[in-house]
This record gives sequence, structure tokens and C-alpha cells, in this order.
Amino acid sequence: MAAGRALVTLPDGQTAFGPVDPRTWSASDRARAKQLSLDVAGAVAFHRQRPFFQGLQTVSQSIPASAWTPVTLDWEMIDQWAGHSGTTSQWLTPVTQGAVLGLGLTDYYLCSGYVPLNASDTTKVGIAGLIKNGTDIREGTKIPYGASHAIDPMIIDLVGVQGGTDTIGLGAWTNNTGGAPTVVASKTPSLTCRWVGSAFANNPALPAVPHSWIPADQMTASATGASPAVGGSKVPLNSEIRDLIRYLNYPPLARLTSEGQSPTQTIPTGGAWTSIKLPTNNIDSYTGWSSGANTLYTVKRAGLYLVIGYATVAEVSAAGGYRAARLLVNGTTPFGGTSTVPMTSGATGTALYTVRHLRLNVNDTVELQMSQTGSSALPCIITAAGACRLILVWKGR
Amino acid sequence: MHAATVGRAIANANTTSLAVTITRPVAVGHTLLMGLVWEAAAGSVPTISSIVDSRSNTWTTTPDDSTFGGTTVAAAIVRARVTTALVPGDTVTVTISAARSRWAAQIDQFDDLASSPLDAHTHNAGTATSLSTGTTGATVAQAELVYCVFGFPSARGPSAPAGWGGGPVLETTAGSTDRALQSTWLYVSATGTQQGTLTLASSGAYAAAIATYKVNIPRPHVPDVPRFVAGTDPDAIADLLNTNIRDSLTFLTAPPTFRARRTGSLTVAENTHQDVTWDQIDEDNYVGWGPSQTPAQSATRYVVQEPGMYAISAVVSLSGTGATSLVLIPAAAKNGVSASGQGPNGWEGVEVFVPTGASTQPKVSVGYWEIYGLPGDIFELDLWYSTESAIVAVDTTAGFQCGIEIIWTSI
Repeated sequence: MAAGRALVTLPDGQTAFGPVDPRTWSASDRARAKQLSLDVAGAVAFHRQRPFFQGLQTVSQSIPASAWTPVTLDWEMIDQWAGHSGTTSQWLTPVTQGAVLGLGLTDYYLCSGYVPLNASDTTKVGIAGLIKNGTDIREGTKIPYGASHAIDPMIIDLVGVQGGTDTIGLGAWTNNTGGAPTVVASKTPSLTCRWVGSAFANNPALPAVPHSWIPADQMTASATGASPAVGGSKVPLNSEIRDLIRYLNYPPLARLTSEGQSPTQTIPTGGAWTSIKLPTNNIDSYTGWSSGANTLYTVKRAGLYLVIGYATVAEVSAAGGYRAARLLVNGTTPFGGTSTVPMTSGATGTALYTVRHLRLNVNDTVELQMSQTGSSALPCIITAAGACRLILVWKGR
Repeated sequence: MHAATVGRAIANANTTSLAVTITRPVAVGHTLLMGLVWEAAAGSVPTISSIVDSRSNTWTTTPDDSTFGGTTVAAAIVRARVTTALVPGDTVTVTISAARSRWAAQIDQFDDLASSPLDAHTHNAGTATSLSTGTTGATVAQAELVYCVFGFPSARGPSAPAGWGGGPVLETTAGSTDRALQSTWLYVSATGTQQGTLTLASSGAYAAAIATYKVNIPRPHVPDVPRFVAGTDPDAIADLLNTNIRDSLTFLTAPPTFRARRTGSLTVAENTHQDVTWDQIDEDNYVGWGPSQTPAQSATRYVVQEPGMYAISAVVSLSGTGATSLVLIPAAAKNGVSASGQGPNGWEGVEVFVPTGASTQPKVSVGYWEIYGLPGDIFELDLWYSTESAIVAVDTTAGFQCGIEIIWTSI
């Protein structure tokens, strides 16, 4: 374990466990208490308390015009692994399992938040975002201001971090003349970062329901079948412990984007739902995406998934109509997200989320779709910061 | 799980009844599955007149499945849900309407079957070294027990596939026309068709039946950090492993999950905080929905069952003609207020100026939060929209219904 790193504090005062890469058992091994403690107790200690940060802003901050600005988080609600460097700082340094294990793996955090902004110019927009390492921008909801009400754009994205040195912060952007203040009454800027998995090439199968043990059972490395005792079974620890813990460490993760579209796709006017092409995958740990059918993610492991769709287009000045985003499962079942009017003039654009937890089976397909009724077709954003995204995170059996 | 094989018996002479003596305790709430094999000179499965045990538990006399292989052998699976515990020395007596000369019976005890467990079943017969029960239709539950009974001539040295439980073969001992019974079982964790197989050392006429039973999926609590101690009493090791490995990893791979929608019409009011009432529960594995509580609570509520941080995703919608400056906001409420301390009735999600046009234009907004809850805390979805329109209803169109998902993520 890395020196100086904050580790899980156990309730009974035992020595803290870090995350574990479970051992591979061989037929000659004996199941000793120490080995089981390292693998099972270590994994449970980590996965029941996965690294987590949640912070808020309680004092309004002025966001200047046309400059990505870190949002100060002056109230740590939870900083479980001590990754936030101070009560007034904008930056979180997430702990990384791969670094702890010395495997050099990329860890993935699900980072979400809001930046409520107060302005009224319908020709301007506000954007919530993430800022990684001070310069790497991830845009979130991009929506116009209006009369009488604030807007509260959201950011939610899957962020890969390495080495325990990467930083993540909540960001905001506006092109409102003179900037826009954040709102801290009735709503408030917030950032939540949660470790959700690591990337690893040897992706295990979905583990079976854990075995119910009886006295007649026999622990084995990999052997199965009947145990010598009547009614008992041989229970292979490599699948019962190693593979299951690895699955928790390396669950299915995917982040597909519209970067690299060539030519840039346009969303036609008229309101028809259009599947968005996603030619780039930043991570696709279980190979659910293929370049040949890049509007689809095909599920490889059954389970409950957090599915995030992010549809974003540039605007044509005074285009009118509405914009909407949704997910589509198996080509037939829609799951709606956000809809909005566009900015009344200007071309900055519109970006909308759909965020749902969906139960998906093997070979189910998921698509990101957009609908719009403006005066003309609208081009997808394909820059790294603002590209359309389809994100999946396995959350449970 | 398979708690024990609790009784085995054979008959080597013509008889209409067979008593099986119970050899291990059987607890209330457990399920007994009995595999029966007879010779089948009559060319049929015998009609079971009664099955009576010493404690008057109710047995099925119509088999969950049964079949016969020509005039050689017949097989059946029968079942009882134990309402009065059995103790060693008790008996289970099977009576049939016409005598058979060879019997074999084995009773297995399972502690985790649903109260009405029978799902898919089928049977098969033939003459072979590779026996098959036939393939069932698709099972409906994620976790099920597959139980098979094979009847065949004796001295065939049966072997079951890897991973299947079953215990040793049971054979009659008359010295001629002896019959053999082999029970096998397997727990499965996904829906789908099922088939039992068995390999004999030499070919024989056989009859085989298979039935699948729905299993109560355990709902373990948030795990403590497991402790494994050298020198643990061997009699306590199975319980220790169930607590430390099975329950801990079951919880982490299948955490408390609630997913619900509003599919029927729902009247809403502008400039008013209102909690969405759920009428379609897609998933609630820890039974936290309000009306499921004792006493029943509002259908707007998810009552936290296990402590921890919960990921909440939600969508709210409106149906009707919009208006300029109409905003729509979802908010996640914990005990009626915002867990962030900001927001009068919940932690607000995306506030957005939704489309101004007719009801065909989607008017939806989303949110995502992580919020800590203790058992008894209440999570609800607050819907608020501003005063500019004349809208009074949520959208019930498929895909734009209000919905919420609540998933445990950590302590």
C-alpha cells in the first residue's frame, strides 16, 4: 500500500485493508484464515466503502463570461478517502486502486454535479462541467437562460484517473454578458465523485450467485462436482472468490463519444428521433461497442446498469423549436431525459442528458438519440470537451 | 441450499406402500423433495394414493413431474412444505393404488425454496448410456433449484455432470430386476431452459423427470468486514463462510434496488411541490416501497431498508401545452427536505426551460444524486414547475413517464 494514503478505517479498529487483487488458488493450496482475510475481508472492506467525495458551495461565486472557471466547494459533506485538499479548494485528488495495487491501472470515477446559474438573457447559455488536471474540460448540460428563473445545468461523466495525482474539479462556463453568479439559495453547486471500477483486460464472466455452504462441502481451487461427503459439493475458490472479486474490481464500463465523426453527423429537423454515431470509445471494458455499428452498445454482462446519454449539437441562430434527448433499448423501448427550448439566437449550442438505471440482459442494445424541431438540421458537437456520449456502468446483478 | 438428504428407502418385494425413515432433523419452512423410482411392468407411473408423514405435513400426491420407460422403470418427483418439524425416526409413507415389486425413494431437504416454488418441468425416457431428462421451457426466476430424478436398472455406475449435487446412487437389492435411483440437483442464477443429464457405465432403459423450483433470494444486510480466525470450530465453518463470503458478496453484487414509474394519469399543480406517486414498481428487492411497509405508507415513498449512500436517478415530465419561461425541476427529497441543506423540498436536479409547444413536445427533466439514508428514512421525488402554462398532468407516454431509481452504493 502506498505510504501516506488514506485507507478505509474499520469500525473495530483492525488494521485497514486496501483494495485487493485476489489470489489464484492452486490445487495444493490450503485455505488459511490469513489468505481468506486478505482476499475476502479486503474486498468487502473496499467495496462496501468505495472511495467517495461530496462537496457543496455555500457562498455564491461569480462565473466570468466565456472562461471555464473552477467552482469553489467550501463545504465537504463527505471526503471518505481524504482526496479533497482543503475546505475552500476546487480540486479533488481521487485515490486510485490501480496505484495502490501497483498495477498501473486506470481507475474510473463517476463524477456528477450541478452549477445553478442566475441570468435571464435567452440568447445566452450556461454550462456545468468538469475540469480534470486544470485544463481538460468535460462539458455537461448546456441550456439557455430565460426570464424569471435560474437554470441548473448538470454534469455527469465517467472520468479515468491514474497515479493518485490527477485532479478533478467542478467547472462552469457562461457567455452571458458580464458573467453570471452561482445560486446558493434553494439550490447549490455540488460535486459528487464515486469510484466505480478499474480497467483490466482479463474481464471475468458474470459470477454466479455465491455458494451456500454446508458442512459436507469441500473447498477446491478449480475442481467442481460432488465432494467425498454425502450431499456436499466441491466449491472452487477461484470462481467463488477470485473471479467474483475481480468482477467487482473490474465491472463493465463504457464511454463512447461522437469524437471522430466524419463527416459530422447532423440531427434533422422535424422531430424524428435520430441515433447518434459514436465512433470513439474511451473505455469499453467488455467490448460492447464496435466501429461498424457505432450507434449501439451491446450488453455483454447482464445486470443493472447506470446508463448516461449526452446529446449535444451546435445551434443555428434563431433556430426555434425544441431539443430533446433519450435512450433507446433494443430499438423499441425509449427512456426520456431532458428537453428544452434552444437559445433564441446565437450558435453556442444545446446539450442534454438522459440518466437512468436500467436492467439489461446479454445482447440488449442501447442507443443515444436526439430529436429537434428547429429551422434546419443541427450538427453534433465532436470536440473532446463537448462530444456526445453514451456511458454505461454496471451497478449490480 | 441443500440442507441434507434426510431419508432413503427401498422395497424388494411387491407392495403398495413404502415408509422412509427420517434420519436428520427437518425444520419448519424447509421443503422436502422426494424422488421415487418403481419397476414399471404395468407400463405406467403408479397412481399415488397418499403420502403421509409422522407430523401431518401436506405432500403433493400429483407429482411435480413423472414418467415411465416402457415396462422397465418409472420415476416421479413429489414435494412437501414442512409446517411441523420432523425429527429423526419419523417416517414418510407413500401409498400407491397398485403394487409394485421394486421401489427406491430418496428425500432431500432444501431450506431456501419459495412457498409456491414449482416452475418448469418435463420428463424423458429411453435406452441409453447418456440419460437426459429432456429440456424444460424457460424458467421465470433468476435463482432456481433444478432437481432431477433418474430411474434405471441397477449396477450401471451412474455419474453426474460436474457441479451437480446428488449423493450416491440408491439401488434395490432383490437380486433380480433390481432398479436404481439417482437424484441430482443444481442451483442456477439465470433464467433459461434446463436439462439434467446422467451417464451410465452401460446402456439401460431409463425414466427421468426434472422440475425447477423458485428460490428465495437472500436479502443479506450491509456486510461487516469479515473476520477469518484460524482454529475455527469445524462445525461452525459452513456458517462462517455463509456469513463472510456468501452474504457479503451477495449484498455487494445485488444491493438494495428500487425502480418505479408513474404509468397512470397523475394530476399536478403549478408552483407546488408535489411528490410523485408510483404505480408501476419495476424492481424492489428489499421491499422498501411505502405500501409494502407495516403499517402501509404512501405510494410516493421508498423507505430505506439498509443504511448507506444511495445513487438516485430520476426523471419528471409534464403533458400539455407549454408556455414561454416554463421551467420544470425534479428534486430528490430525504424525509421531505434536501439532503444538501439547500432547497426547500429536495435536492434539485436540472432546472430547464422546457418546450413551449403542444403535448406532443416532450417536457422532461432529469437528476442524479447520491444521498445517505438510514433504515426508516424516506426518499421521494419532488416535482415542481412554474406558473406560465395551464398544464395539470404528467406525461404517461412510454419513455416520458416520471420515474425513479434508487440503488445502494456504499456505507
